[in-house]
Amino acid sequence: MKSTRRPTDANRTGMDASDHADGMRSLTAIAEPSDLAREDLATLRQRAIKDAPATGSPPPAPDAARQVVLDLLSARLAYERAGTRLYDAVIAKATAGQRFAGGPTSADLTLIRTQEAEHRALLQEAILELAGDPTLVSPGASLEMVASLGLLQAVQDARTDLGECLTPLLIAELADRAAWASLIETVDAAGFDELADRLRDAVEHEEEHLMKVQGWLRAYRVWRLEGNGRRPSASRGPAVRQVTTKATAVVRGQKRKAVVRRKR
Amino acid sequence: MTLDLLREKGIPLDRQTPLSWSALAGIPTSKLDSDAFTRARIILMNGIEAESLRSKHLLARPMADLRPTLARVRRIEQQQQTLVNWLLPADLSPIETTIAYEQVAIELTAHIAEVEPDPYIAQVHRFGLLEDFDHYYRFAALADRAFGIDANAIGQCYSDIMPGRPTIVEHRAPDDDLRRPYDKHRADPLTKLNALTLVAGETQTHDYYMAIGPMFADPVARRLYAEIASIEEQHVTQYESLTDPTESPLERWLLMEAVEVYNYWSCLEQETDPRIKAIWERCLAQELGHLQVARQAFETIERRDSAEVLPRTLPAPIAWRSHRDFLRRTVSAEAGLRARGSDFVSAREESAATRAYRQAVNADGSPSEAVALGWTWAPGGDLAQPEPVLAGIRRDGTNRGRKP
Repeated sequence: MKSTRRPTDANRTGMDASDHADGMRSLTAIAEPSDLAREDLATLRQRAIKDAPATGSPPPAPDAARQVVLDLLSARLAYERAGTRLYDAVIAKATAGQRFAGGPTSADLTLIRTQEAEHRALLQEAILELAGDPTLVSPGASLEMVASLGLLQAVQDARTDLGECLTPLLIAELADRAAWASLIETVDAAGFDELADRLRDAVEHEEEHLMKVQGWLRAYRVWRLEGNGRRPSASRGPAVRQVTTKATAVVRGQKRKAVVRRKR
Repeated sequence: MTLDLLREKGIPLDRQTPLSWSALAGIPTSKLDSDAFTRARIILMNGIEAESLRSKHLLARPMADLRPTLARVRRIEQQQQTLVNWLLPADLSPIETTIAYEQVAIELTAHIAEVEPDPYIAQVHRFGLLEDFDHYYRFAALADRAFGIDANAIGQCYSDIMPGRPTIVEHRAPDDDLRRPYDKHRADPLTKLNALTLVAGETQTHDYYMAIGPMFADPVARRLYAEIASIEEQHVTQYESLTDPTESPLERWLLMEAVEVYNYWSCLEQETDPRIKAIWERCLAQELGHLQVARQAFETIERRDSAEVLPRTLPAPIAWRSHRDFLRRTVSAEAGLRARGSDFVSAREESAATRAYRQAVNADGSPSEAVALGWTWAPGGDLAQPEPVLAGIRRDGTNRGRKP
């Protein structure tokens, strides 16, 4: 098969980009599926699920209600900690000079970050008030930590720009708003009414955060539709300083003549 | 109780049966409930098994007659490694696993440095210890500042989180990482077990960072893993250079089997989780069987008595406990030490080669310094603390305009 040189910054993932697509398509006519399993994937998972213990023990508490509430507070605390770091990463993009019409400034993002940090402090106080340990990682907290890792990973990547980071922020804010509402309902139902009232302030903030992120995301999409925001891909980035040896000069076409000339 | 290495036969190799995939990849430990030292033992034994496999592959290459025997031993050891390493749970994220790896390095090396009978080699261990101690601090800062994770939830208060010998000055020219080897005829058996245990531990740490470093998105994390992985390679060089180069490959195999027996026995002696204890017991019995195979090969091929190489009884088990006081004393007395050739010197006596190398790798700044600028550990992490602690530097590492 003849190989065609493509520019190094062209997307290669789709089959239309490949000279070998016909060969790959022809495979579907001849390949047979694997058929030696005694049990399928779903059955194997079922078996593992039935055998699996809990990820860990809940926070110690004198009764079930307090234990559930402490687990949820610990979970929210873990999420707000990760959320604060999520905003740190997005603020870094804005501070690095990334902007678009209708998008957030560093100050806009810092305000939300401050509020996320305040929510964390509020949750810490709430845990202490219920005689809990705010440094304890509850099963709910561990779950939130795992769930938020992908969001952090998406925004921390130096290659994702301010606008792209709004998608993981939207996921974070949607989840945060719903989780706060659910937390307050549970705290209320467990009989901690005063605490529930204090936590309500945070929900208002979360509503605002969500509205803002949705607005910025809308503005970003418009800005992109107007033809803005295309950036060079990895292959255009700075390279390690090139070292040319006699051997590599032969491989590199443009240097061959120089080497040949020297030999003469 | 101790083990008589020459009399304990364990399970003969031909009676060591393979486990199924579901038994190998069974129920993991709990990130939240398992003791940090149970996790530490799991991590070290994974490293020991990895080293055992690697060294037996190297041994097999020039020894055609031994290949079948080595292949049979390796098959069981690969299963042991799987059984052990799959005890780590999925919710232990790569950064948290890193914290746990560094805790292993700290507490294991502290124990080894304390019990090492050779004063020069004990100094080598203390030297390496202070560098891993610093890595624990740097990674803890990363966990907090990039992920909002308190490293102490993993370390469970056993290990201090504070600077050791700053990572930025740990970068040395290769010649300054080579130490003087023990003399195989005169060295205490414990000296040999200690060195080989640390080679295994540091190699797996290096390999782990090399595998996961590129998976991080955060640019500081990517660079920090690159930086600390390079130190782990220096540590492998250091500990490997402690071994007597005149030890024959079969002698080294025999010692490696003894290392495995010693380490599993240490795990078994101190394990608090009954389910994991049963795994250590199984692996110990298997390793005693592998030791018999190695003895037989050594005695047949080299026509030497394995009692020349093996200690009759094992030294006291590795003490899996907090070494806080020893560490604080060592940091305070020896963080300022540097290495020149195989000697330990003051900072101003470092070699020109080391200075030049360090300048080259730190030319664009230091990830290990950047990540921890102005950071000290406090319960619940940075965010749980009141704002500024150092003049001009916020706890989140951003500078308020004043140079530190």
